[in-house]
Amino acid sequence: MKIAVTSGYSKSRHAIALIAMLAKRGHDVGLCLNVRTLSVKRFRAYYRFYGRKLFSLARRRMMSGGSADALHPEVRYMDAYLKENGIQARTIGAVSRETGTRVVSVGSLNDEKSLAAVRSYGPDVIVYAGGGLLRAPLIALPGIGVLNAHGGPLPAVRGMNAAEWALMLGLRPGTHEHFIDTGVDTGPLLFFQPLAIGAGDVIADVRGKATVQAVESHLRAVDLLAEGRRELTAQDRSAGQQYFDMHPLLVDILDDWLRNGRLNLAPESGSRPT
Amino acid sequence: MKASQDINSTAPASANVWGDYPSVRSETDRANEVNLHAAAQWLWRSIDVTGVEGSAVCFSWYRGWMPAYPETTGYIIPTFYRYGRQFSRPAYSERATRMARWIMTLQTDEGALPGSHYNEGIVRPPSVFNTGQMVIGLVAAYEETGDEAFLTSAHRAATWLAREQDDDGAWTRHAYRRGFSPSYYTRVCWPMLMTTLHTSDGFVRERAIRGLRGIAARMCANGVIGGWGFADNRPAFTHTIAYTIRGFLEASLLGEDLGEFRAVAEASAMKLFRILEIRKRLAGAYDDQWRGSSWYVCLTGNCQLAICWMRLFDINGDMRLVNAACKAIDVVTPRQKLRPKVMRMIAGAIPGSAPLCGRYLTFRYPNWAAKFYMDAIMMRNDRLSFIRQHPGASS
Repeated sequence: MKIAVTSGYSKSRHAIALIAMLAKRGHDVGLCLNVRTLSVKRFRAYYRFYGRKLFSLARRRMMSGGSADALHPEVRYMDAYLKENGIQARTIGAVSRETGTRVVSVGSLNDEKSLAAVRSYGPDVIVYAGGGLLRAPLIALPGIGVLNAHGGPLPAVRGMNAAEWALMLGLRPGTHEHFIDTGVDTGPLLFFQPLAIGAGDVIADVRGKATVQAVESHLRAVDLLAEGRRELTAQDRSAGQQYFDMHPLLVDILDDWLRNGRLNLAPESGSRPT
Repeated sequence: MKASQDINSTAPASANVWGDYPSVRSETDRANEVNLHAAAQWLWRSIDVTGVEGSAVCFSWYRGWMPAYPETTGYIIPTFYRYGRQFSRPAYSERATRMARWIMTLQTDEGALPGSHYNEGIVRPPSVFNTGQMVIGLVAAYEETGDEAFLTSAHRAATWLAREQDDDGAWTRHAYRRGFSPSYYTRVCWPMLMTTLHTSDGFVRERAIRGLRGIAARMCANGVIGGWGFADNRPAFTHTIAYTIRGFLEASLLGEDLGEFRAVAEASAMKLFRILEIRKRLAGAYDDQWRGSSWYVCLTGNCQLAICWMRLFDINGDMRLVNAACKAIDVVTPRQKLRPKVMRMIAGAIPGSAPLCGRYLTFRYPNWAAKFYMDAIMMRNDRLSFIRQHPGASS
């Protein structure tokens, strides 16, 4: 089975781990679409999101040695995972050299260069590990589909910060592995893997664990597909709601609940009744 | 039930899936209280400078403090009551009562209240919209003090509004623009309904509902309500868009038979919610195809829409709306100068637009921007506090 992986930036630990682990399990990862960080479009999107704060974030990033991840405490989970699995590479380029993966640097996953690379490689599956929204032309290219590890129970929690919103709604977060279609997290479902939340965990821990679990979930999904097992559950597109990035004041409330053990989460399989 | 519950007190249990909001707060649920106090103090000063108990319409870079504005003085009253109560500052409540008494002195024998600015010795013509806004203050003063004179005054004003209405539910006389009955007159119908909660005046109620139905009929399939700007066929500031939505929303909470207006408010409010979340910001104005004038933000519109979303949250418990409200308010807070190096009289004020040269009240700091900012902060902190105390409540 031919596999392509996406990556949001050249130091994405998530994508690095995925490529290395897929290769370790004997899968053929022939292509990585790596989205260039420096582009006018991306700068515009970031500026719209962060406003003038963007410049102070950039300064902090430079002071932290050039890694945006160093600003986020949750990355220690991914670092531990890389270490545990003996993955030394810290860039997409480095891991790709080790695994023999061709890296194509693109401005957007949906641009012509990206589409041409996918057409030329002809993957059975694209494993989504970041890089922005996917449009219909790319989604239609792989033989089987595009896999996504969504951070919350579907269809209840679609969209961004799914683990946080699941907690906010009293649902157990976890990874819902599904195929991407043209809707927002509305594609057919493969399986749901609940996330274990320990006593004393805060949101940074939940995010860190969820990222590691997303890699594990992708690996399991690719294994299943390689074995020819494709039991899919269609989603009711009208069910659930689309969520957006959570404001820090609400994240603070979640941290408070987690620290004080005040969350009483719904059953593990837990899609919220709609 | 208090008719002016949204800004004057906590939401009534009947309109709020959550029940009452708590008074004990964590540090985070008191976010931006410094900004809130600064806005309150600026509003206080805006009254001091007029020489009457009315708040100056705005501070302008090129004209300084402007005269008192009866219209917005009216709806600042419930904000002062709430602020005075919540932060144990009785001087604000007492001042709110004095403001209401001042408004009563402006009332004509027919019950109308004046438009435009207040200038000693000049009689201003009556205004439909301004009368409605002052009724909000009069009803709040009655509910706070129990003084029947405020209710009588509010009822007379509401009766005048009802009498001046055209048969089709519009008001084409005493308008901001001659002959144009804008959709933000929902914010006239809402105060009319407020008075009927205390007076049970069927005539006023019937006219208010007629007005709302007439405006609801202007709703387009894309969620735009025609005529919700200051002029027809021109982009509407988020300020007047939010006025329109709020009028429908609050009216829908004032009677079981008024639920039809909630759907109208919700359609527009949810459209704007998605715009904020997807585009990461609101434009200053929108045309009838939702094309935004994105080069500036109408700051008071941001606060007013945040309030609308939080009121919708009270009804449906959708926490995404509180989340969006937090983001809309975040755009406003950095625009407030707490210790300006020049023009110290703008300390605590909220500009009309960001940047200051934006189309909405260019280089001016209107009193209603500070008022809606105060309301938004107090409402947001109430809701955050409630959510904190009810983990997983919405599931």
